Amino acid sequence: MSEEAHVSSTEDPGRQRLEMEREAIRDFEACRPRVEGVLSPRERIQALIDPGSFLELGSLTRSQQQSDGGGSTPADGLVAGWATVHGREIALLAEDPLVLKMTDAQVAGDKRLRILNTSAIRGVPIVYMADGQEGEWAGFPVDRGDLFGYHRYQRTEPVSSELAAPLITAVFGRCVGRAAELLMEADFVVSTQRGSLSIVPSELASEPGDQDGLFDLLVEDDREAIANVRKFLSSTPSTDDPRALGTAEMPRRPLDDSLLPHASVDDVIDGLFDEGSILSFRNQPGFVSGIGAITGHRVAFAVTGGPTPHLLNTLDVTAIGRVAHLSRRLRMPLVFVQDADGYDPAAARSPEFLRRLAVALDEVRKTWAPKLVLVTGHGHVLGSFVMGGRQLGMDYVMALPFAQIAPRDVVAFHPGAIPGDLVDGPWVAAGFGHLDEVVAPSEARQQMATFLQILSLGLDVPPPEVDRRGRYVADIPKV
Amino acid sequence: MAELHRRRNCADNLGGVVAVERAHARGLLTAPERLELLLDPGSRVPFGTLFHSDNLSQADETFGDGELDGFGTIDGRWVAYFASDPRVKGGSGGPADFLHAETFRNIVEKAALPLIYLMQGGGARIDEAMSSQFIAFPATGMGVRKVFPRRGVFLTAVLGSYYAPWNVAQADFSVMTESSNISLTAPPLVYVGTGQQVTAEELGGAQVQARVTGQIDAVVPDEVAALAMVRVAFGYLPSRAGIDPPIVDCGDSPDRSCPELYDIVPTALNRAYDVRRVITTIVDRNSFLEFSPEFARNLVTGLARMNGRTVLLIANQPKFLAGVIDSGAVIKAKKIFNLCNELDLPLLSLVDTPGVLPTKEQEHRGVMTALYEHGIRRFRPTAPKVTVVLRKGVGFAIGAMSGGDPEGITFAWPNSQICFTGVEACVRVVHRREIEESDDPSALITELSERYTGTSAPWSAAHVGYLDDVIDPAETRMRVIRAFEVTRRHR
Amino acid sequence: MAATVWKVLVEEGQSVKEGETIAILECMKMEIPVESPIQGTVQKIRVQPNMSIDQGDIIAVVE
Repeated sequence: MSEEAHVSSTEDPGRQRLEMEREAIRDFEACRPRVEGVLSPRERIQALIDPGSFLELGSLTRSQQQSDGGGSTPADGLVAGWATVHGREIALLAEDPLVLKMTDAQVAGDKRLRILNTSAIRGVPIVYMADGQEGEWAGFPVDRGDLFGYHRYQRTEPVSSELAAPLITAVFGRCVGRAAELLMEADFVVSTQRGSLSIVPSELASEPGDQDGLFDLLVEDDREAIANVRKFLSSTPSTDDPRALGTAEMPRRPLDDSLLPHASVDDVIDGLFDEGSILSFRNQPGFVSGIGAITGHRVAFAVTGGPTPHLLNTLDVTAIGRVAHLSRRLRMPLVFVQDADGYDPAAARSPEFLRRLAVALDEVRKTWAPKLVLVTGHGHVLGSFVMGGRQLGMDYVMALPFAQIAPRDVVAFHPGAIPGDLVDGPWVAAGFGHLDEVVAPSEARQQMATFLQILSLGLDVPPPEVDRRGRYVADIPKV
Repeated sequence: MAELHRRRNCADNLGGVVAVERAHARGLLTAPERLELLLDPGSRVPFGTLFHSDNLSQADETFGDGELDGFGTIDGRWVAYFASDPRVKGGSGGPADFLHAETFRNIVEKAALPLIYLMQGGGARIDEAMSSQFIAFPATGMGVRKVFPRRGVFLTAVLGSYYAPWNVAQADFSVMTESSNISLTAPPLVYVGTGQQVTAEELGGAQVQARVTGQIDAVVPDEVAALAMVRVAFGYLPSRAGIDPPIVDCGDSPDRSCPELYDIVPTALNRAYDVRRVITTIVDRNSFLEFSPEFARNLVTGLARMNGRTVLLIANQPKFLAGVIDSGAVIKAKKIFNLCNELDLPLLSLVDTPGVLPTKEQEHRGVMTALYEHGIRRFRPTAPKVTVVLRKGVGFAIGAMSGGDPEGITFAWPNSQICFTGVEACVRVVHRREIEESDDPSALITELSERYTGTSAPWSAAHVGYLDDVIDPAETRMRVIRAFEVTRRHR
Repeated sequence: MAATVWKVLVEEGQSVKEGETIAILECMKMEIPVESPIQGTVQKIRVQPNMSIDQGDIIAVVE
């Protein structure tokens, strides 16, 4: 008996047993081999959540079918439960690769199913901390993921009147086999440098997987990943807080009328968004996407900028699809800032580009949330350009006075395709209603905020459903 | 930047001082002046200020292309507005504004905003609309689709001539100035097409709408009054279907007793009175807003507040046509039932009617079909309905006034008389032969009349629960407020 | 619809209060009192008992 056992438990066999079980878990943690910068599953959980808020489900679960020579299998390799992050309730699942090596994970699978189902019913965000490594079980080179939960779980789309709760995947280790599952529904995927996802074990793959464009965010280590998950949770709407309206912060360097054409992305972001509100997913010269706030309104955004107008490549287009996906599922306004000449001809030749573009176009078009565009340089706002063409249903389109608008009938989206004399300032486009407003740089943020406010008035009301004949399903005709 | 300032300057000063003076000389306000009166000070957010006609050479003179639209607040609640701007081409609409209008309408729908129309002007630019492309108009131009529960309320103010006035037909509340007029088309076209010579006023002036058609809810002397009335009416209405209207404390206690009603409503059933006095006594002080007071005067309709909450009102008016239900009353009631159904507003019904008018003229107008459809309209809304039978509730008319609605609450005053047909009619028709053959016909008539008056008293219905209660007139306000409270649906 | 004048309750020259009944009409078997809108003197009475009148006809002038 350990010296930590309390006096009364020696008299109480029930409590003795409980203490033993818990001690086994503590011993397991204490004996865990440590790697620099790598946290244990429980440490990751504690780093993410509000202190003391973790309610674990099935703390005493263990494998029913262990491989030979196996020791204890705490939580059957999946620590699960609920907690709060910035006061917002979430469901948590954290994989333990050390244990997963030694179990068939059936109990873990049941636990996973239970959490996922109840969380979906309650509209609670789910944070899935994936961490695996290839291994063997009973001689079979099979991945644990295939044995999880017998695939009884089916996550349903909420009806349009209900807000979706995000599924967030954080990848901490090398996950094989269930990669597609983890990505499939996730609204936000962040990975550390140690993390990777693939379908087949690496011996069978011809080359290591190209992780580019797979994750929304790639960070150095565990703590950074967790910090970003925290920020994501506090920056997005929840079912308790559908607008997630934060306090309005001033931008770091507000835009003023001395702004020149083809300003850099940094200048635009510093001038438009609330300071400190940005969580960027893709951050490249000339292109930044992510979530942020404008006068407290949480938005999903993509910004292109100078010094020369940007050309969108495959990864840019993928990233746009991802923020539009967030906008659609979480009903966050979508904000595009354009200074782009179209698509990069080199990238655009590949079928992969086209497929990703199609996905992105679809997501942008389908999102019901408010969609706003600001043209700061070259803009394609009249057609179906993926960064906010009118045909994709943009609600409010603004341009700065020195913007150059490409006319809508031009199908080609690459530089040189448009005869110079057809590209003009914003005046004609504004005159004909293709653009809604021309604003001075110093006015842009406030104008955007006003229309975010107006358009967001409708976010409380379910989007109209239209039947095949284009009639609004809930229409009540005048008697 | 300079170009931006130049264009904005042109847009703000369209037509210059001349246009302003010209409008004032005609007794009219300019569009910006109207918006100033309509919206809370400083709240106006214009939409698409640099939009102009599709004639590029005239860009500088045509900013707005005859319409100003945008957003603002009324008593702190967000609304969208659309104002005709006669500074540009007399306020007529051109095809280029289609895109702009569509974008504006998209925002209004997306934000589920109330929409206020300030109309003055000549309808379509005829020369531009003389194309087969006009075939597209019905689907797009008439605003037929209103999405529940997204739709915001519509209010329309007619401030001049307004041809093809769909925004009046669509509106939840409409007001026109005395000098304005609405009709399908203007007199010159009427003459050329049909030979009929008629003035705009005869065709569809304010008096015609107020008295003959009932198509407008209120007529006011001038524009200032019209814009004030829009603000007032909006205050009674929710911003959109699916939410409650604002609650306005009128400083009138819900427990106030109304003994004045003993004097206002004579017990002699054949003595008329003005039911509006009953209304103003029962509802919160100064909260009664009457609709179309000069049309179908035998039915009084409108909005009021009870204990701060908006209610819709219908009441028979014994002073006119003895308060019968006729085809005019059915038309007037239609408006109320639509509001009740679409905006889920509670309905208070005050009944004192000798029945449906059964004359040849009414039959030839199809009063039977009208009454049947009226019944369906009355039954469709699921908002709370409270009915008080003040005196007479006869025949099909009582159903038309929501009496006895199993989903509503029905009260009756002690001296009320509820029956299938008038007592005199029953006696003289059903017992005609007995009376003819009687030795003392007048005694028999008296005896039969007393019998039927007795059975028509509210007690037998109250005893079996067909009436929810018989109430003392002085308790009417209290009981009605309480009845609305217990039947109100919580969202 | 027409109404009939049933009774005239005042004379020319008589002073009346606001709301005081000047005449009673009969229409569809209802007695409809017509009240003075203002306090004043009856200048002119334009109707007699049993006369049939229409909406808009002047019954009396009070100043």
